Amino acid sequence: MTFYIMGQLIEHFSNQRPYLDPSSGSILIQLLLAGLLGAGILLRTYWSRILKLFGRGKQDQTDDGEDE
Amino acid sequence: MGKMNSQVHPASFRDPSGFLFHRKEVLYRQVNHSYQKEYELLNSSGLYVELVDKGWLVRHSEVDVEPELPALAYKVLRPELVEFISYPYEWSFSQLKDAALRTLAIQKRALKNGMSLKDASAYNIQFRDARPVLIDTLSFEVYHPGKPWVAYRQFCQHFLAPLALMASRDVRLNQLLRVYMDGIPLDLASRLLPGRTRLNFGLSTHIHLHASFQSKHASSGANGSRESAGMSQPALEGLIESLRSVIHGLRWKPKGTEWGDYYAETSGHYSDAASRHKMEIIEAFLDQIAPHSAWDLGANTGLFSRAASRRGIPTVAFDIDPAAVEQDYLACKANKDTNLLPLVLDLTNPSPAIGWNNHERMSLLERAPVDVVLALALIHHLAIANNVPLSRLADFFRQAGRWLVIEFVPKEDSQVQVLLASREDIFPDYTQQGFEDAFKPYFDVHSSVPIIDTARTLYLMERRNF
Repeated sequence: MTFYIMGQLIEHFSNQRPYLDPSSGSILIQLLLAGLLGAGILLRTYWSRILKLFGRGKQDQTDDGEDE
Repeated sequence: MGKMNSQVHPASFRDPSGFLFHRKEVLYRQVNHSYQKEYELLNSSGLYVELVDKGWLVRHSEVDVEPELPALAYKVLRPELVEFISYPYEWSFSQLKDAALRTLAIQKRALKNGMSLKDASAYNIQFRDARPVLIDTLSFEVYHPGKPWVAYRQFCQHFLAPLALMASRDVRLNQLLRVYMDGIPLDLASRLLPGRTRLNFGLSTHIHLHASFQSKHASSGANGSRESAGMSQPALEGLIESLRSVIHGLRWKPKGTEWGDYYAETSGHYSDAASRHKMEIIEAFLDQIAPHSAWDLGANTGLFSRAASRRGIPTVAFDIDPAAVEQDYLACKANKDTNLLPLVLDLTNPSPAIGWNNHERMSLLERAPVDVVLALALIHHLAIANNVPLSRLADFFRQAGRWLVIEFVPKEDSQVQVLLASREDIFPDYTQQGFEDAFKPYFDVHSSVPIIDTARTLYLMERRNF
């Protein structure tokens, strides 16, 4: 199954011809993490919506790339 | 062809989307036809304007200049320049961390605009006004939903691995970036990191597990035929957020130094009056020569570098001590000292020219000359602790800059006594007269002023035959 998905992705990539080698292992681990992290983001989104409902929502996280 | 005096930039050859070239000392970027779609989306999506307005991407103007390779050319751009090109092996911990966070923040904005970074090289980030900025306008590709991040491996090698090693093992390990120009191989990072980092979810996945996936699937190349759903956009955003979170959590504080008064500890051998007098002399010299650029070599936390940067002179403050450079950088950020760039540099082995054909990353001296070099409380470290003859020091400074503000520290000075305490004095020529004799073939001495309360002297010199 893993190889099947990877094969598709490599096919997908080879059509787009990235100039960097993304490395097969680096694609695969992203797929492994995808489920986990995608679920995390969804949860966070819903949680912040729930908080907003109760007027306790935070502003969007700053993402100016500078820590502190 | 009207292309006299033009030259393709030696570091600009990997990406087929375009390249940099110099013509008549102006830097241009040719955008190739193959990048037209991406370039148009960068503009039409609003991403370019948004990033430039935030100061995250260098601005460029489209110019009517003959392309360097007309057959491939779509447009020619003239990018705004950064004052000084620096490299990740010269950055302190927080500089590399800020560059990493800036890269991720740019990737987040790109995804929101239907684009994605196709590379995440630390060399695409430079420091301008003490803040990290992306200098490669051609780094963006059209985002195709379902596609994983093509630059994930590169990001982990260029940013996450060195930061994790600096924070969790030893801050000096960023020097591995000098050897591994495409970032620290993840299997190496995984072996060098302490075992406890496997308990950190981010490091355990993005480095340790990532490394083992790379070795297990190094040669996998199966073919498929159907379009794959792959990685959803929320999942990709989750990946970016996970990287942001792990990098945000990495900290480094120097051990064995009182963080707050680092400078006071290391400069305790000056009286207040001597320190003030030294500052006054340096400021008078700078006002006299009105330089447009400065390097402070052996700058410590940048006390005297600020004499230059406060005058609006773009100044690079080099020091060998990562702790001093870290504190200097954090102070620059806090005080918005936009003319100062602190960097880590070992003057006894300055940054070499590296990369393909030895031309991708410039050596220190390839980035010279500057208008003025400050060499304060430095010469005894080079001449006595490192055995460099005085005439060789003069020759080095001659290559580095036109003007030289240099402090001679004689043997009777307590700091030199410390250096000589543990070794034989094999430096009969290390005297004030010997110093002047060694520098006079290379420099004209314009001024020399003894610093009160010390045996030290400050010189203002100008290199000969400029």
